[in-house]
Amino acid sequence: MLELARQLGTSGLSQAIQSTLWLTPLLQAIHILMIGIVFISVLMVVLRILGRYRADEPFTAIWLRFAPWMWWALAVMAATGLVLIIGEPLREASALSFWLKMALILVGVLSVLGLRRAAAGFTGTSMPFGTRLAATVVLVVWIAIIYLGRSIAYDAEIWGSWSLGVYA
Amino acid sequence: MNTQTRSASRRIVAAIAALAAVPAVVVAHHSFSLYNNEVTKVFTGVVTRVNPDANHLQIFFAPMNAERTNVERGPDGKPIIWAVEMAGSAQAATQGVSVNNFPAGTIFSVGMHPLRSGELAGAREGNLFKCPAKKPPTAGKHCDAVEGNTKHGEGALAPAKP
Amino acid sequence: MSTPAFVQALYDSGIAVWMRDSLKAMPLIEATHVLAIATVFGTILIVDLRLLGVAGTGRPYSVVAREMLGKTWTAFVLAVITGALMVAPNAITYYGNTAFRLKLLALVLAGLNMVIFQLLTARTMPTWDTSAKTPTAARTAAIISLVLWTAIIFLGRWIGFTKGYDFSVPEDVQFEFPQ
Repeated sequence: MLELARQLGTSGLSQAIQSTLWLTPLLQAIHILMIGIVFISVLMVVLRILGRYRADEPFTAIWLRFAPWMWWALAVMAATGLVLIIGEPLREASALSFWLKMALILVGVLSVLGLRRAAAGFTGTSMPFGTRLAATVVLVVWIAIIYLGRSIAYDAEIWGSWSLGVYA
Repeated sequence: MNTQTRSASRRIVAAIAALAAVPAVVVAHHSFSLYNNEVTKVFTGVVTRVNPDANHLQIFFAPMNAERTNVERGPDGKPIIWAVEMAGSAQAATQGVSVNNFPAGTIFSVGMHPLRSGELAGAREGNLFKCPAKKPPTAGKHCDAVEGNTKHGEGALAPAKP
Repeated sequence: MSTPAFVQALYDSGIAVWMRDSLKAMPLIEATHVLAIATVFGTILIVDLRLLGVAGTGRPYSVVAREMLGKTWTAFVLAVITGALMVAPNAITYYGNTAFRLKLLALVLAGLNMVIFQLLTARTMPTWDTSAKTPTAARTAAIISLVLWTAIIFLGRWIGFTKGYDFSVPEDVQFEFPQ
């Protein structure tokens, strides 16, 4: 995998991204804006399940309000993230934080879909304890994704010898 | 986590790394995009200042001439100053790179990927060697060839790439 | 460039020294800053989109704003604290950084925009609160707010890429080593 990353890093596309100085900060800034949209959408869905946001409306209303924003922002994040990865594949592939983040994104997306199934059709204020617990866990997963994303740049500091990279 | 599971987990991580079939990857903290990683410049120079930046510590230095008798100077006779950036101050300190350890006048050698912008600065590549106080290497050599040098990090001085 | 005393004092402070010496503090605080900013931006986006009549129009503006207010301020305070912790260890560098100065300016302008909206436009709120059609002044405030907060996030990211170097040379450094 790292060898693949190394080769990708020498490709013309990767070199073009690397040598366009304004591209990386621009994509990172867009990525952060999208984090805002995704995180707040997840937060609102979770808070509705916890009965702390728009408890007077059925769950589905809140889901329909935020889900499209969440999916679109996730798509933009995937696109900007992909270009950033192609730009510096070795840095990402050698970071344990990166792989944990990718795994948690999968968990995060699937568990949000799970929440929708569990809460669909619910209209009351207080949902069953299990659903509320699951919603809290989902929120923690998305917070962890944000922390892991920032940790990619500090992989060796965070993970020590567990990091696949070694410091220069 | 107990020591046994910890070492077992470590073995799993090591196994994944082995599957990847490469030696440890040397990564800079920085986004690479700022630097031209196709080029490695190797300098022996005299420290002028250390900025213990929490994100990327920088050593400012005057590169020495090939004879190692003086520093390179501009048309005005003043030393030309370069900067080398590395990991944050705390991470650099674990390798003994700090304000106190690299006072002005310290002679050291380091490789770096220069900035694409053309500014006289770069991201550290490979190991960093410090000469004993006031003992520059002989002509054309670097601090790793001076007896009594100290090593700041793992491995060798990066080879120069044009 | 000369450094003002308060910047130097911040740079020399105990918390700045601790930040420079800690391996894990910076990444954890930076990530918390991202989380806080994401929450500030996300909640402001919800309010501004309601103000523009684009989304969330099923609820009165005042309700949408009240639902978000506490979250925005809590996250903003967290962003200021983590931001200060990030600035302190590199205060001298940041002080001279243009992107950093522009970001502070944008924050002040965003604050002014909010104050002006509250003092003038919000007074007529009862007449448009439940309507998707909001007055031009309200829409203008929403657009200014979104532009400024987007700029704040862009400038924040730019700081890290444009820190700049201080190449000044101190006196009394031995540069000559005759053999």
